[in-house]
Amino acid sequence: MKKGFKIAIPKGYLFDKCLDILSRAGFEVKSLMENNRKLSVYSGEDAIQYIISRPMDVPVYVEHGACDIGFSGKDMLMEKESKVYELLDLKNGECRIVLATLKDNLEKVKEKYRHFGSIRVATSYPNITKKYFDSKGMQVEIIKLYGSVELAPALGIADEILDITASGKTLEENDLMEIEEVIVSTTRLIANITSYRVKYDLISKFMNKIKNVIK
Amino acid sequence: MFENKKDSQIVRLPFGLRDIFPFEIEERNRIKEIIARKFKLWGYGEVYTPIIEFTKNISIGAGKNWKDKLINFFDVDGSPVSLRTDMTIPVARLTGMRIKRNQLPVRFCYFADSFRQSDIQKGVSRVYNQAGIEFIGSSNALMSDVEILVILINILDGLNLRDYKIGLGHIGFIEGLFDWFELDMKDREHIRKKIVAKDFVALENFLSKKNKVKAKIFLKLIQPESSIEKISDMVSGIKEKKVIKSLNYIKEIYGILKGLDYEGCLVTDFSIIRDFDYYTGLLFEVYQANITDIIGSGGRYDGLIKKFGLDVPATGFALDIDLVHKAVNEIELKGKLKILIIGVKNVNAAELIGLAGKLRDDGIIVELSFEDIPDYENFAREKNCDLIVEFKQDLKNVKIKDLKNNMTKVKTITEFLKEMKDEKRI
Repeated sequence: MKKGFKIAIPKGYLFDKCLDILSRAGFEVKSLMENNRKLSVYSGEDAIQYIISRPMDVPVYVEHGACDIGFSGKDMLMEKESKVYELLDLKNGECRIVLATLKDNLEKVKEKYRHFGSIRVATSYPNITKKYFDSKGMQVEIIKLYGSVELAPALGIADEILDITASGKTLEENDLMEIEEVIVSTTRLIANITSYRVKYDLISKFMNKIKNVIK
Repeated sequence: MFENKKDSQIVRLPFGLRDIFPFEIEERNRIKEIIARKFKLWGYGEVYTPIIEFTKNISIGAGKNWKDKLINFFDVDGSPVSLRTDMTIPVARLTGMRIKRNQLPVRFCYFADSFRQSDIQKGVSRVYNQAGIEFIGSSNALMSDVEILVILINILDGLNLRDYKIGLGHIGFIEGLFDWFELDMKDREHIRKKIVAKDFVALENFLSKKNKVKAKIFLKLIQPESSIEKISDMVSGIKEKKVIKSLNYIKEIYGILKGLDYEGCLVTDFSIIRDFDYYTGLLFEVYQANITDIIGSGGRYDGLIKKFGLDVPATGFALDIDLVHKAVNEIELKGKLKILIIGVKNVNAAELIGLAGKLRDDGIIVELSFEDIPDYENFAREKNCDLIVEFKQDLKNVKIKDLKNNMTKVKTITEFLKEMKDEKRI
C-alpha cells in the first residue's frame, strides 16, 4: 500500500480557510498557494496529495474513495447524504441556509398556500428543501437552480427560496427577507469509510494536528 | 467507446439491476469455488430458500426503516410479500420452521442474491450477491464466533486478498457505555443514529452537553484501535458490567486468533453498528484498501430465531461477491485450455464431434464453429481461445494456430491428441 493519503480541498470561499488551518497545523501549503490552474498538487514533505475540486464534489470524491479525507461544508454533506465519516467541525466557513421570500410578501405566500395547497420553492439544495418541507407536512414544488437563486422570487418563478447566506447582504440587495433559519453550516473534516479503518494511523495523526488549531 | 443505439432499439432494465456475462461469471465462480470449498471442509451444508417471503417475516430483522429497504409485492390472496433483503432472516425462518432442538448445533452456508430498495437517483445496486454462513445453536458462543472468524480469515487469505482488515465491535460495549452515561431511551436512539450516520461531530456536540469528561472518553473508545491493551487501559475507570464483559469477550477472541497468528488483520472498532436490528453481541466488518464499501460483515444474533419459534443463539457472516471480485486482483483463473475448432461441416461432423469429445475428456474446453466467419482469429481472441484448430480434409492432419505466441503448426491428429493429453497447453 502506498504511504500517504489524498485530501480533497474545496475551491471557492472555503479554499483559503482550509489552507489557513492546514498551515497553522504545520503542513506545507506553499505549493497550494501558487496561483495556477493545477487541480492536483503533491506535497512531498507531508506525503499528501491535494485534490482541488468543486465544493459539491468533495463529499463524492471522499465517498467513492478518490480521496481519503476532505474538507466539506455541512450543507453539502446534508444535501448529498454522503456515506462518509464526519470527524471534525473546523468551526469556520460558517454560513446559514435560510428560507426567504420577497419583503412584504409573506402573507401573500401564505394565502397562496391556503388557496392552492402548494407553493414553489427555488433552491440549489433540493434534497434539504424536500426534507425541510416534509418535516412540516407541507407540499411544495421544488425548482432546482444552479445559481442566483435570490432572483427567483422577483422573476416570478418561485414564491420562496431556500438558499445559503453568510452575511445576509445578498438577500437584502434582492429585496428578500428571511422567514426561518433551516441549518447552520460549518466546514467539516470528512473521511472515506474504508480509508478511516485501513489508514487510521495516518488519518488520526492528521486529525489531531488539525484539532489542535481549531479555535 | 459505446455505440449509440437508435431510440427504437433501447431496451431497459429496472434501475439498480444488471446482466452478467460469461467472462465475469467465470471469475465469480472461481471465487465462489474457493469460498465453497472452505465452507464445505468446515462442515457447512448449503441451503437455498425462496427469493420471496412474507413481508411480516422479512421485516422482523430489517431494522427501523424497513419499509424503505424492502421491495414489495402482493400475493394473489392479497398478502404482502417481499424480496429477501439478506439470507440471515430466511435461514433463521427455516431453522425455526424445520429444525428440532436435538439436531443442534447446525451449520448452514448459502450463495444467493438478496434485494434492497434504493433511491432511483442514487443509482446504487438493488441486488446483492452474497456468500455466507450461519452457525446456529451452539452453546459455546465464544467458540462459535471464533470459528466463523477463522473461516472468514481463511477465505480472505485463500483469495489472496491483501491489505484487508476485520473490524470487531460489540453491541454490549456500546450499551454499557450508554449505561455509564446514564442515558434514557430517547438519547440512546439518537446516539445510535448518529453512530450509524458516522457523524462524530454531532455526537461530540450532543455528548459534551451531557458530560464533557465522559464524552471525550466515549469518542476515544469508538475509534478504530489495533491494540486491545490500549482499550483496556482506557476503560479501566469504567466499572460498567456490560463494558467489562464485552471487552473481555473481544479480548478472548483476540487471544485465540493471536495463537493462530491471525491478529494482524484485526482492528477493534466499537463504532460498528449494523443497520440490521437483529445483532446482539459480537459484530464485525471486512474492509479492503482498494474498495470503498464494506466487503463483508457479520455477527451474533441470539434473539432472531426465537421470533420464528426456536429460541437458540446463532452467529454468521456474509461476503458481497461483487465487492470481493473487485478486491481480488490476482485471481488465479485456472487456465483451462480453450480450443476453437473451425470448419465443422455436416460431412465431417461425426468425426469432429468425436475428436472434440476426446479433448473434452482431458478437461479441455472445445467450442465448435459451424459458421463461415471472415475473421476467425479475432473471433477466437474475443472468446479467449488459446488455439484455433482446423482439421484437414483427410482427417489425418491438423493445422494449429497458437494465439498466445502467434505460431502456426501442422501436426498429425495422433500427435496433436497426445500433446494435448500431456501438456494441456502448447
